[in-house]
Amino acid sequence: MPPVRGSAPFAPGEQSGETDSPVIGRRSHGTDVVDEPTLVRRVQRGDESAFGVLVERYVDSGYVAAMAVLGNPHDAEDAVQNAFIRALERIEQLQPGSPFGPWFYRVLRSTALNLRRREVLRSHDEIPASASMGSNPATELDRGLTRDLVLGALAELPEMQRMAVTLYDLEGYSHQEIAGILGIAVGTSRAHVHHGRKALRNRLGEQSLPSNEEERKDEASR
Amino acid sequence: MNDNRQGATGWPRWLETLRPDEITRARLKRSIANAAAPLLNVRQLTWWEVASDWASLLTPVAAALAVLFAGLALGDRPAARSETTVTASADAPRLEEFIEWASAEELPAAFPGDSLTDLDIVLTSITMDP
Repeated sequence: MPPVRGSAPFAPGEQSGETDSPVIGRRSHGTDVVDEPTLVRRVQRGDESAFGVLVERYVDSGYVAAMAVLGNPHDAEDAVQNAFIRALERIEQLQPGSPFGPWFYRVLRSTALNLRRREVLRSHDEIPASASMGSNPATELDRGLTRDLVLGALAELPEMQRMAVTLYDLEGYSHQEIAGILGIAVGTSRAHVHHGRKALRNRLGEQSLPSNEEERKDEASR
Repeated sequence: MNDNRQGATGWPRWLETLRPDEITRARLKRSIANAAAPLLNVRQLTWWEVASDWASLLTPVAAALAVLFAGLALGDRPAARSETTVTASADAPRLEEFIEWASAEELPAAFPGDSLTDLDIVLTSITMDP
């Protein structure tokens, strides 16, 4: 049956529907009504609404991962948009039955690094001076964390560490999955996450990230 | 992970600060949708639509070929006819000779006498342009 035309997969301003579990570990997406391999198969057949569901699932986390790599909102937006389009163009390359997420993050990282390499990036500093974009200052004051502070802390990490620790905390991926995304050994992923978290803890404060003890328990549970 | 480190959506708070706001998210989704639409439309073509597209592309070509061949065919016909006319006129006996032959000819015995009684019918049939 040919896919239905004219469906409206992207409703601007629509809630992302994230209802992630508060426990550390693999994040569950609130829109997980249909599993990802099924969605991927539907996208491969040209189903616009299935692609919309994938965008809905990964637009926020993709943006955060791109922010962690690139350090500014404009470039992060470009990277996420380009990554989704590249993913759509190459969706046939995704093996049947494979989840979309890890593959998408691989595409996203590659897109972000290409953006930087080609010097297409706008003339921003890697870490923007403005913390006002896309955030509520009052809420952030409550949290004791600001975007600038976090980006500043991330900027001090090597790119691989930044991505590893972001994926670890963002999606709850295992070290094996992170190693697959970044093209590194599992042990290297473990080291990147450990050192990255330690550095972030030093910069952002003990309250912002799990302690060493919690980290060990968390790792054991994955 | 305690509540101080956990955002309302379950993300660690340090990552929450990087999350896009509603306006950014809407803009991003719109731009992705706009960029993806042509790719998805290409994917959505069924074999029938592809065949129809080819048919609609080839229709003008077929029409042009038909007109061309029709023109060639029509262009050939007068030339052939004029050749035939020249050949016929060169070898054709004169009308008077026909009349003489017809008058001198005896009717075959097998034919009924009333079938070719009128000489005009014979002459008319001979002189008619096919």
